[in-house]
Amino acid sequence: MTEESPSTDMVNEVETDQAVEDARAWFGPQEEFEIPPKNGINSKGKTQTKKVFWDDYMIHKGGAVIELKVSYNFHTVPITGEKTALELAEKAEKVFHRLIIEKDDKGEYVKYLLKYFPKNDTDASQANLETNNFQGVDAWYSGEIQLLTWEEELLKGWTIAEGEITRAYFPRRTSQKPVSDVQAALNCQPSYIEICEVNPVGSGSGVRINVDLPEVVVEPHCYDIISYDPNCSPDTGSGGPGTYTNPTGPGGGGGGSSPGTGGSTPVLDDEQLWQQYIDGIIDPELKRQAQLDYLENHGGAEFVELINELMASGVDHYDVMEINKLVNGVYLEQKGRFIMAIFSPENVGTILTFALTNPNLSSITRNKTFQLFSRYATEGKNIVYKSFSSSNFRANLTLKTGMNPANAQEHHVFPQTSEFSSFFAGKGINVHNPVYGAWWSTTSHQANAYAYNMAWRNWIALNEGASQAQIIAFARQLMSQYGIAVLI
Amino acid sequence: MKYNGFYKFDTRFVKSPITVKNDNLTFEQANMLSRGDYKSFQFPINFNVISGKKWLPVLNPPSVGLYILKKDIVENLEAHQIKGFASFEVLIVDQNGEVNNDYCGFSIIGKSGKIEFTKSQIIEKKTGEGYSKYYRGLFPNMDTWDHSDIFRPVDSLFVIMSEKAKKIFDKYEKTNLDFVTLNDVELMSIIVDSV
Repeated sequence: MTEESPSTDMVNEVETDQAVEDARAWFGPQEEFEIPPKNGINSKGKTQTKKVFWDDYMIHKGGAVIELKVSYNFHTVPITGEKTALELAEKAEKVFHRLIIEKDDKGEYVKYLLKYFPKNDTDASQANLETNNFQGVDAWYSGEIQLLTWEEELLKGWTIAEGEITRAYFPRRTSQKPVSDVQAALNCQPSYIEICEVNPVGSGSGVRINVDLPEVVVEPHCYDIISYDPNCSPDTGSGGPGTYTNPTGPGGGGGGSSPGTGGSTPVLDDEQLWQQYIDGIIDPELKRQAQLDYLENHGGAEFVELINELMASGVDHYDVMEINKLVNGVYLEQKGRFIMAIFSPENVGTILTFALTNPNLSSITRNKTFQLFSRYATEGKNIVYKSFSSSNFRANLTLKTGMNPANAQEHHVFPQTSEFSSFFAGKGINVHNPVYGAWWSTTSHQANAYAYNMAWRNWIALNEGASQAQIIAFARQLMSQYGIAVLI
Repeated sequence: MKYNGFYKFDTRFVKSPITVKNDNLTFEQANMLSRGDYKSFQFPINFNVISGKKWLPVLNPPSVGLYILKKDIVENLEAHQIKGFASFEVLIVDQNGEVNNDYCGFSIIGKSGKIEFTKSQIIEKKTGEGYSKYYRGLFPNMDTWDHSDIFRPVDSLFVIMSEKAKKIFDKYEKTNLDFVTLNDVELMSIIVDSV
């Protein structure tokens, strides 16, 4: 690659100073600017700002172009193969930015931003104006360069390997992914921008980072760039960035970041990056929300709705911990699938473990979960129950709950023992109604059935005048003693 | 100790004994029979065998607290001047339509005061996967006890028997019978606390 020399020697000092003064007069006296959240990023509620340094500049094209150093209080970096927060933090330290103020033929000014994201092993001197600037890229530079509007909208981007452009891209403006509510809630979101790749330009020849928009290409290769603020890593402040882990790096051991290798893209697959981001979250609250966001975007909206409803039902701290485990389990089960089957047989096992037999869950939340799962699993289905009888009980409970777990027995919450039948019938309770059913793991059910029935006998002996409401209340209490979820 | 020599009488949940049922008998009516309140009934009371194969001395109860016994037991109880019970005539039809006349209904008419759970000890016991609180000891108020050998604490369907009454039952097959000394009766706290 040919490195072009800075052009300051082409103009005299008087003209230079005047060009800067003119540009500054047009630009205005303000040096520090707040970036609106919609254009920039929020880092845990912190506002992103940028500052222009008028005493650190370079002049090009005889004063037609002024290049100034710009710094941000924090900034995202595109993830291009980094596997740890430490690597991202190191990358962030080497980032440098420029403001380009250009006067066109008509004397009108325009301003752009150039952002440099060198690779980790890049020498710090690459940030010098003399080394990398509007006119050229240093032969030792490797990394990303992006051209953006002053309002922080990407116009073009280049991937550079040792001074050579290996890839050029531009944003697909028609289908940018909106930042999801959950990501916004995190105040720590990675930013996504969908870009389309064009053939490398200028490869092998002198490279100029020009602001011309790329030519229209037929069926461009489009995907997302995900940028991430390492200072906003959820593990920051609680163990340091080194705890950010990605056990399954893209391309098998991180090979995906190798540039210029015949068609391999140095940018990770969107899906992998999203999973990598989630896997790296340590904070359990943030992780659950990120996993739910992922599931919602992969066809698991019903499950997300269910969890949100559950969370809104007044769960305690320990329940939240268990819910986090459930979400994690479903996420791990379903990740990578775009048509999720939340209520598939494989998930029923997870659901059973969590909702029906989880001893760490409060009985209220256990019941609520079971009720919600059953409701969601059967929603929209035209259910026709068989007659309410002992022999049809399992079939009806299956219809009612949307599951037929292999290792669980259908349990009559109100025992069907003939000794109790006149008591329950007299209180308007049909013991074979599936709403009075529960799934109880076979081993535990068989082990506890005797004591369960004896508890009912003793309770009835002391409560012969109980109302239906009192009977149902006791049923809930008794089932909770055994850690079994009920629908009532 | 005034509770020594008293037992809570119960039957076990086992499948082998014959189980009888009268579908027209309400829970309230069954309780009246079990307390010896016969005025609104016509005897015999009919029962049908619904399950089981073995004609044990005490059949599985058709309703909580309602017992069907072999007439022989009742005769034995009477012979030993056991107080606190009555019996009524039943007619049991088995699944082949054959009538068994060897049994009678058993009513408990002896009484004591209410159960005083404050006298019980609170313990923890394994229930399912976790632990639950239990009340240990079933102690009725004996100040108003009518000195029957077989009695019920007020407001309950529990049956308590004296040692003397128990010894009569001991002579019969006890496959499905359970006598627990009052000191050793354990009830889950949720049963007691909801009373």
